[in-house]
Amino acid sequence: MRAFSGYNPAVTAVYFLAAAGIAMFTLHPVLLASAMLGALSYRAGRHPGRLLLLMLLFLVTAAVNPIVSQNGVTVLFFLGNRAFTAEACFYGLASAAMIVSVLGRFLAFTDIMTADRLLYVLSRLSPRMALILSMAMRYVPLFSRQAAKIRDTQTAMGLYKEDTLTGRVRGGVRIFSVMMTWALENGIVTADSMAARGYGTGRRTSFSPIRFRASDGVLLALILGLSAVTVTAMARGALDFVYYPAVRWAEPSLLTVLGTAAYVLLSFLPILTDWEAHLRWNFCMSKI
Amino acid sequence: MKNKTTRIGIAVIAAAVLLAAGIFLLTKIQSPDDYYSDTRPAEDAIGSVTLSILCPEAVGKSENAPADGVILPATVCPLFEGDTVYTVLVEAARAAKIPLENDGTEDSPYLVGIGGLYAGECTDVSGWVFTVNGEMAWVSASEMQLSDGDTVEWVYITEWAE
Repeated sequence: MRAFSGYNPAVTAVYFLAAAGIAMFTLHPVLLASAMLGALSYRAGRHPGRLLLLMLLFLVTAAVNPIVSQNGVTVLFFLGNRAFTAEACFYGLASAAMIVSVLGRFLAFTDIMTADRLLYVLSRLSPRMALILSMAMRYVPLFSRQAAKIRDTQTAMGLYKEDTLTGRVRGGVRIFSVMMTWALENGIVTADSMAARGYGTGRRTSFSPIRFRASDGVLLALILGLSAVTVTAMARGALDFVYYPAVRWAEPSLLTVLGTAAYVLLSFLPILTDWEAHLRWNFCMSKI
Repeated sequence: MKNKTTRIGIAVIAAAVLLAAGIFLLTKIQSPDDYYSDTRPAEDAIGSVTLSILCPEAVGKSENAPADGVILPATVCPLFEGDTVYTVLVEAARAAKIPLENDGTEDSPYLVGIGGLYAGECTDVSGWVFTVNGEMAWVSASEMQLSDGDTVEWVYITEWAE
């Protein structure tokens, strides 16, 4: 039993693509509402500030649309010669929900995708990208820490008393030259260390603790199946929703119901998976 | 820290309240019925013009265009002192309850949509142009002064033919 974040990263990446991707191409209020609720409620407790900001973004975006657009047949009131229509308000709510749900999904994605998981996914897609990313992830923090060390040491030695612009530039150049020397020497030391451990003597293997298990396959099949149902319903026009000039929607059919239910399930899939793991854990604990 | 945040919060709320009060007091908020019946008194009219809003090129290309291509048939509208093409359009739309969407300001209007038919719906260059007495004017609608007996036509074009 694993939390949603513990599943194979390729599966979670496919999930985020599917959930956010479908939300970007629909204006159906039920789909967008479930996308927004699913995105905001997943791991909501860990980032209360983020939740507040997203809600604020939602309100601002929803309020701006009736001000900029006067399209729509149902006029609520006139401000001077400007008509504030109900359709513009609904469209504002829909577009705000779309923005907030996609943003929420991307934020959750950055939470779940730690460095090793991201590398695991990227190395299959593009080894070059994975190499660049791993270099950036290792060397940027390492070099900034080393630069801070150099600066502290030189300050302790009595340098950096002047605060003029030329003084600061000179100090920066000093640190940079020491950094360069250290970086090159570090590179040589790393190469020697790798050679001492047998790098290059035989075929290169790599270890990754990430496996693709049967439960990953089940989750992937579920994600792909639900997305396929929703996308088919959207392609067939069963989930069409028009706001201007009057609110109109496609004739509700079996495909509408199936598509909506599939996407609602897809939106809440991470929370349901976490819940299932939580229940199973409690059940096991109760047996002790 | 907390004091600074509270002060910023109070400042934001005060600004919002002032903005709302300003909008409420300085502009005119009317319900649809009030707006549509708020026509200018007919006694002050100094003449009349004929206004029509047509969209024959959009019929079939956009579902917002009426089937006969006529949003407003040739209607006689009262002309008041200082009226421009834009003012006459606004008053006629008020009387006939035709929705208008102006993307510019009152002094420099850009009519994006009349009667639900919007610029850019049919082709990339489609939009609304107006002619006075059959000639297309090259000024903004709020700069074109009208005289008694003029004929104004707002036409939706889908191609820019010069």
